[in-house]
Order: sequence, then structure tokens, then C-alpha cells
Amino acid sequence: MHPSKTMSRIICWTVAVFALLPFSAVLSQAAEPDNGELDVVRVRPNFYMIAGAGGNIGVQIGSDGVVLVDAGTENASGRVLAAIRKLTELPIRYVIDTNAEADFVGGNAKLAKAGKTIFTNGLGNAALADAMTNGGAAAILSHDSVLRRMSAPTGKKSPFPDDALPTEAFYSKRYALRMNDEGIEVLYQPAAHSDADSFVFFRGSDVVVAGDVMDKTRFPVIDIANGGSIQGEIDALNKLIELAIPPTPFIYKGVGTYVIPGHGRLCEQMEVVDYRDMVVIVRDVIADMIKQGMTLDQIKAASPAKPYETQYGTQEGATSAFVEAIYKSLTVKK
Amino acid sequence: MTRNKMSLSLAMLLCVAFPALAEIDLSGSWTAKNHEDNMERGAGPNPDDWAGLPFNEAGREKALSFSQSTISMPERICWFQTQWHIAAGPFSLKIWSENDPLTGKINAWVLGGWETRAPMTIWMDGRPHPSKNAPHDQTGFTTGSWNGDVLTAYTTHIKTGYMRRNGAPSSDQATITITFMRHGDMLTLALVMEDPVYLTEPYILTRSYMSTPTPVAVAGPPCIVGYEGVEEGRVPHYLPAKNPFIDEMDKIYHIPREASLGGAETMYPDFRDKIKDKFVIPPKCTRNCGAPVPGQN
Repeated sequence: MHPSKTMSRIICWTVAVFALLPFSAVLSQAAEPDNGELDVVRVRPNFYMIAGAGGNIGVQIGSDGVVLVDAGTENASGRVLAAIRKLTELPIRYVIDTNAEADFVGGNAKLAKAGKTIFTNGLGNAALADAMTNGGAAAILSHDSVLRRMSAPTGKKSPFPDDALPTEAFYSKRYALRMNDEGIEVLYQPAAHSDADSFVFFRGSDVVVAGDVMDKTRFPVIDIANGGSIQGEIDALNKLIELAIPPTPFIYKGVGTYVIPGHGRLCEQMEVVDYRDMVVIVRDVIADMIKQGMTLDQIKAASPAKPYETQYGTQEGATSAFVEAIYKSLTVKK
Repeated sequence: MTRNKMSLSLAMLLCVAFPALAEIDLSGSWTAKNHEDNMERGAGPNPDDWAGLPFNEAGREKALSFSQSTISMPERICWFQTQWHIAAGPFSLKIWSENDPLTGKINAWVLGGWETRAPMTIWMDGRPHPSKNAPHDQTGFTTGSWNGDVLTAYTTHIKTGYMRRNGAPSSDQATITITFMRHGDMLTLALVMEDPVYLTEPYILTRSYMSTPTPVAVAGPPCIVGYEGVEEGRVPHYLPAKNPFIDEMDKIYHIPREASLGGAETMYPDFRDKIKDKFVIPPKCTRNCGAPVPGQN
């Protein structure tokens, strides 16, 4: 080939490539983690959400140490710990469980053991500290219903190892503590996704960790066999709306209360309202179909959740399970 | 021949190498020319008029369940529209740049907000969009780039909203691409919404503005929640097949249901041929035009 022709072609191709660049350029790549990586989202200056470890994890950091809400799966706990260590060297003091599902409590043991009890003994009586606490590890705090679900009656095998079980269980509707200069309320929701749900409300940070009552990636899982109910789910979502404050009156100036759902992205009150409305509307549609005498199969065939399936029903079986849970919840003999 | 090719190549290379030379100033006040889709942008569309919207089934069903009382829910009164309200609303625009104080380089273009829409910042500094787990806010997150003298802005992380103010929904997974084209004192915006939750195809609208010396507001007033007849916790909606307005467009304009309920097919001119035998021109309107026929609603 003639050298000048070769040069000419090279220039033409170069020009063509550069000429196309402005048109083919992606405006901006999303800063998202690869599959299997954790996504650490800064919620407030002292508060983070870790996604990708099973259920979402809330991380409050302050001079008292680290308070975790939920622990993700057991398999992810090493990566979660590494992610926390990148944020702070301060010890984990509490792991607070919002429910008893494996993707929320699976990391309890490892994360608690990596932490340190608040009963640090200045006189050096380590034996006393060990005796009073979880072997000197961080406390695992939950409603008693979580402990019951995670443990087993005497003589039967527990679904979780002993060192993953809550070390501090409460029976009341509300448990309050103060860590890192802010009030923290653990608010029991008696019959929502199951009978073992709690919200954890950080009053200073203005963040609520909602657990599996709200799953932004799918219809809510309502575990009827373990005490969940559609009305309890709606009641819990209404409570969550009540806890969260939108950014009115200067709505465009900032954000309101943040809500960390069990799965999916960080939310505000508006997303909770959307989610509550969806649950109420599907409930009303199914209630009307039951009133018309339709069977469960007929109701499923009529697609009562159709308007929401493209958003919340993409996981296999999610729509069917939701419809069935509502049906059972509404037709249970009292 | 070779010399000609090289000259052309060099010319193209120069054009590509100095795109900043072609950038134009968008700043100023721009008054909306509302002749386009006047009824939709002004008084608002008729109930259940979704012709020309590329709905999927979920989008149509969601729209049919919509009750206008929804916007009177105390939890929703102060919610803003998404940036799609630039297309769906009647308002004018105030545009300004935010420049680096040292270099003068434009870091961002900002579109002022209005009563129901938050200001929109178009980041020009190459920053990435936030992760999929980041919160969605009233403004969404927008980045921009110049192609010659045309600015293209791409918005993600929006909240749920409406494509049309009669309940045609948009999801929080929707994205909006806005192209800004200035021709002298005229500014044209082409807006494209893509929504994997409710649409089967992109939905496209254009809007025109004219430069004005009259200042346009940079932000709307505060919003106070008041009682508008819907108690807190109540969720107004229509059950399937119970929407009383489903044949509204047929009653008023003789537009058949298959057209008014939307779908991608209804966006294209061929669709008129399909329904031409079902359409009877209504009698000339002499009174109360655009409203329901008395006694039929």
C-alpha cells in the first residue's frame, strides 16, 4: 500500500473515532459497586448504610463507638467488618436486630465478637466483664420475639448458633437507649412482616432503620405462619410514615427523615407513603374480590397487583406470595 | 484526492478538539410558549386521557386506579413534581450558570424551580451519578454535556411522579434526557422519559421558550400542609373496572377507549387509520367547550 494512502486512512479513522466520541459518550457512569461488593452510602455525617450484605445495615458512629442495626448474612460479615473498619477504628458496641431473618442476623456473631462490650472494667476485672456480657463482645439487642425465633425449645436444635443469639432482649413495645449523644428508640411492630419486627429510630441523626417491614425491591413478605398480617403490615407502615418527617415547608431545599429499608435504596417518607399506598390498594382490590366470592386461584388469575408487578413483582414468586398472604390474612377465621 | 481527504480530516479534527467554542450561553429568563399542548399545560388534561402515552399494562392499570383525591392526601400535598414538570407544567424558566471562581469554567447550569418543581442542577464537571442505593430527591441527579451548541442533560434518581397531571404515573426508576437547543431568542427543549416500570417505549415532548427581560422566579414558595378533605392514612383510589371516567374522552370527543387508554401504538400516525371508522366527529362545540357534556357525567 502506498505510504501516503496508509497515512491518510489512519488519519481518517482517527478523525472518525474522535468525531464520534461526543455522540457516543455516556454522560456519566454510575458509581455503583460490582456484583458482590458492598455499597457504603453516607446517610448523615455520622451515619452510613451498607447495602449488598443481605439486608441493609445501619451504621451509627460516635465517641461511644459503633452501633449497628442488623448484621447482614453470615457469609458477608467479613466484608461488612472490613467496610466498617474503613469508616472507623472505634469498637462496635451494639448490634440491634430488626427481625430474625438470616439475611439480617446471620452476621450477629462475627460482628459482635469483633466489638467490645460497654461494660469495660476500668479496675481490670476481666472475669466480671466476661460474666456480665457476651464474653466481652458487643451486645446483641432485640425484641424478645427475635430471640424466640432464633432459638429453639430445650432439646431441639436452634436454627442459629448460640453466639448469634441476642444477648439483650426486651419485652416492651419500646426500648430506648442513648449512644453517641443521641436518643435511640427500638420500636416493636407486633404483626407486620412477622411477629418479630422492630424499627430503630435515631432521633438526632433523624434516621429510621425499618427492617423487612419495607422491602424496596419487592412486595413485602408477610409471614402469616409466624405472626405476620396484612393489617399489621399496614399499621407498621403507617407508624413509619408518622416517624418520618418530609422536608416541608422548604421542600426543595433539603431532605427529610431518612428511612433505611430492609432491602433496596435509601428512602424518605415519600417512598414509604408510595409503598404503604401500594399495600393498601392491593389489599382493597383483593378484599373486593373476596367479597365477590372469588377463590384464591381466581384472584391470582385476575392479577390484583398488576399495577405494581413491574416494580415489586420481578422476583420469582413475589407477587403470588404477596397475594396469597393478603388472601389468607383477610380470610382467617377469628 | 489524498490532500482533500486530509484537509477534511483536519477540519473535522479541529471541530472535535475545540467543542467549547461551539457552546452557547443559556442564562437568562425564558418565557414559556404554551401553545403546544395548551390544555395539558394549562387547565390540565381530561381525566383518563392517556392517548399518546406508551404505557405498558402496569402503567395503564396504575393510571386507572388513580383518584384525583390522591393529591389531597396530607402526606402528598407538598410533594413536588419531578423535572418532567418542565414538560407537563406551564411555567417559564430561569437559567443560570455556576462558575468556578478561579477559572471561570462552568461547573453547572441551574434551572430555577417553580411552585411545584424544585430547581434542577445540571452538573458539567464530569462527576458520576450516585450509586443505585443512594436516595432519590426532589431534583433528581443530572449531568450534562455539549454536543456542539446543543446541551444534553441526563437525569436519574428522581422520585415517583406523574407524566401527565391526570394520574399517568412515572416511577422512581425513570430517567429524563433533556436537550437544550437555542436559536437566537428562542429556546427549544426536547424531553425524553424512559421508564422500565410503566413504559414500553420512550415518551418524547418538546417545549419552546422565548427570551424575556422580565425576571422569572428562581424558586417557588414554601408549602404548608392543610386539610383538603382526605384524612391522614386514607388512600383514595379506584378499584379495577370502577373508574368512572374511563369513557370521558368518548363522551366529550368521541375518541374511543382504545385510543384514550394509551399504549405505544397510539403515539404514531398509523393509529389514526386503525380507528378512523370508529371515530365520528362530534358536533361543533358552542358552549362549555372541553368540559363533559351536561348530563353525561
